[in-house]
Amino acid sequence: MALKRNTNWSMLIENACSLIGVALKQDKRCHMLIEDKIAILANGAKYDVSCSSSGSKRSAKAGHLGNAVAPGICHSWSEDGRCISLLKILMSNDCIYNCAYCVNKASETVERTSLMPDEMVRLTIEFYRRNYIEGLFLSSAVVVSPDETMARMIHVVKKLRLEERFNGYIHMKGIPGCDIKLIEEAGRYVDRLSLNLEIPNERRLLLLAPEKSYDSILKPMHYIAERVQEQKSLTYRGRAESQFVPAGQTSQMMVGVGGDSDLLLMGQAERLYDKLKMKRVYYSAYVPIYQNHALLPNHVISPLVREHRLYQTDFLMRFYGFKVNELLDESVPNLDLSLDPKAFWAIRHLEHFPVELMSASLETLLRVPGIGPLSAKRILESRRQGSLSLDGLKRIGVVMKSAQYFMTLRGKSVQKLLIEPEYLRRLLIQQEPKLHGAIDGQVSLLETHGNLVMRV
Amino acid sequence: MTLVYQNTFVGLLTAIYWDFHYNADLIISEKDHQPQLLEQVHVVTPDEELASKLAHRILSRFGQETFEKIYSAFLSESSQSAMAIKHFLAHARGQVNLIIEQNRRDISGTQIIRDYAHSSVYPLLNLARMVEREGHLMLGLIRFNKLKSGIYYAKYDSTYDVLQVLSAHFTQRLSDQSWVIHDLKRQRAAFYNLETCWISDLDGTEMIIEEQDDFRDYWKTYCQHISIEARRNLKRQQHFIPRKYWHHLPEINR
Repeated sequence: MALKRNTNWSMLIENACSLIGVALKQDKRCHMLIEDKIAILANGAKYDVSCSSSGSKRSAKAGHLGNAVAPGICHSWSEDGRCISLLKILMSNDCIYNCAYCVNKASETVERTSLMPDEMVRLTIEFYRRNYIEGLFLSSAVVVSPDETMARMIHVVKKLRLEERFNGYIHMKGIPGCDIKLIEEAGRYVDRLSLNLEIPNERRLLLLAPEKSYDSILKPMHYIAERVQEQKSLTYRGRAESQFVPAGQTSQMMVGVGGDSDLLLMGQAERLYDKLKMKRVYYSAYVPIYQNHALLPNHVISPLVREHRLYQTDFLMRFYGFKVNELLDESVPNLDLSLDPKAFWAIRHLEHFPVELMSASLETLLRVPGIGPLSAKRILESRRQGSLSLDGLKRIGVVMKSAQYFMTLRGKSVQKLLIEPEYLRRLLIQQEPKLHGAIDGQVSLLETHGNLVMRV
Repeated sequence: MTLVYQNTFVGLLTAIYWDFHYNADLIISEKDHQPQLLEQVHVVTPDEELASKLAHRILSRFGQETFEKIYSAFLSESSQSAMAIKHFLAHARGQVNLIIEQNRRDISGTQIIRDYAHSSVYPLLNLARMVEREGHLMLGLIRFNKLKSGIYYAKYDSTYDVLQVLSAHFTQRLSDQSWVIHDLKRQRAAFYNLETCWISDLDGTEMIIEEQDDFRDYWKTYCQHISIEARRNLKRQQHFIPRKYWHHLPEINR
């Protein structure tokens, strides 16, 4: 289904964009079939791993289409096992920047195209009506300039909200270096606004992505953080629709582009959570697509396992009350790939164990390997009602295979606490047999170990 | 003795009500009941008044959350659901007495349902969880197609009865389009005509949808290209979408 361009429509866009004060230049590469455009632009967007549709509660409104539920909904899963909940697509992949790690970079020979605002809106609405998606995840290559790109994306978002009366979820990417006024404008219409830090180390970023700078990325991030915080402090915030970025801000860092220890990455993540109050930080394993590149590694050791451990550490920070300097420091700058980070910590800090489950506080319970936030809460509840037993622990969902070495129940322990850390480590590694085979340099071996379960 | 109830929520509640007097060994739905030799069977006629009396008692003593769990357990269509509810209520009444006797301020009747570890609470929570889990999954998995008349039509096969959850959700979300959600297995459907939503019987034959739908094709293309080849993990994909749901999903091509 090829859409013909229509001069009246072009003038409409010009008029619409004059409100934002930016002229829209005509894009010549728009005569491709929609199906081919989707293939190219989805392909370009897939390395932006954020997939969530959560964090915003939009109630249904009369005369509008859609709503958004706070926990988010997964609509499908792609062949790489990742959740699909939004239409994640680039508006254009015709980038003027030349970031070394990116598939859309200017020097790459890839077919370039764009989706017209009308096409983008139509796709979003029709997918939404068929319940394929929760909403739109709109990103773009840098077209002409950061301000120009932001203006075009804002145009699409405003069309969805104001003309189509779309009340579903919208996540928009901010373009580093754009005018703060455009961030403010975008924030009024979207649920989540994010910019990707990509490289945790500023020097390395300047090497790999010379057109970007830390300042161009952090300035908009700081602005969003301040506005969201300012809103939180108001006693009456009103409905999601009138809020600035109700689902908050997120960011992404690449893992394995060289010169980044886990300590550095997680330190950066901790700063993003503490100073900028990020909702989430995502970690994207760099898979070497370029060989013999001057700046990028040819070979990365177990990128997906490392990414998984980083996510587990991220959860430890967000839900278990850990600080990065408890898990990693100069003497131990990297995580143990064979063990989950909490077990890794526990083995090095056996003085905290065993934990008596009947009297421990919530914070202490969370430190026991095999007990997560849900289990800890349930232990407290059952303890209060007087029914905690070993069978009960299994019903609650405690992973007894790991926890048995670190806990006592009414003074009795299941397994004696072994003071030999190395022996204990080997026992705990046995609890994750599927992962064991995948810990080497080859990415393809990941097929041998089905799903990576988020348990610490 | 055995109490046999009609396979409706009213029937189940009536049976539980009568059980206070009979204290039966087994309470079971007529669809699961297999008559045994020397078994004393009493068939319970559904009584709306008694059922609503019990429902109100549960709501006022144990709260909304408990009642919702009990209803979800019923929707699981499991042969164990009635006994799980019976054991839970017996335990819950005991707990409430304990609270009063010992003058406990730290627990209340509404929290009894959260005692995961207890052997009388866990079976009920387990049944409820299976239903809630599938309900949430189906919210994402059902796919609408257009009928020739322009009405959006979705069909699905689910293990548990999640039609009410789906209809409540889509009445809010797709409030400006007419739709039908068809539970093929149970031969019921939810209908929405831009004003109200109602559920009624509809036989198991699927309705004829439009053959050609550009957006369905775009969706298939999109799902194919959003996947990162180097991270291909079909086992993981299957973990999240079990095979039993594949039939109605256009994007899964195996």
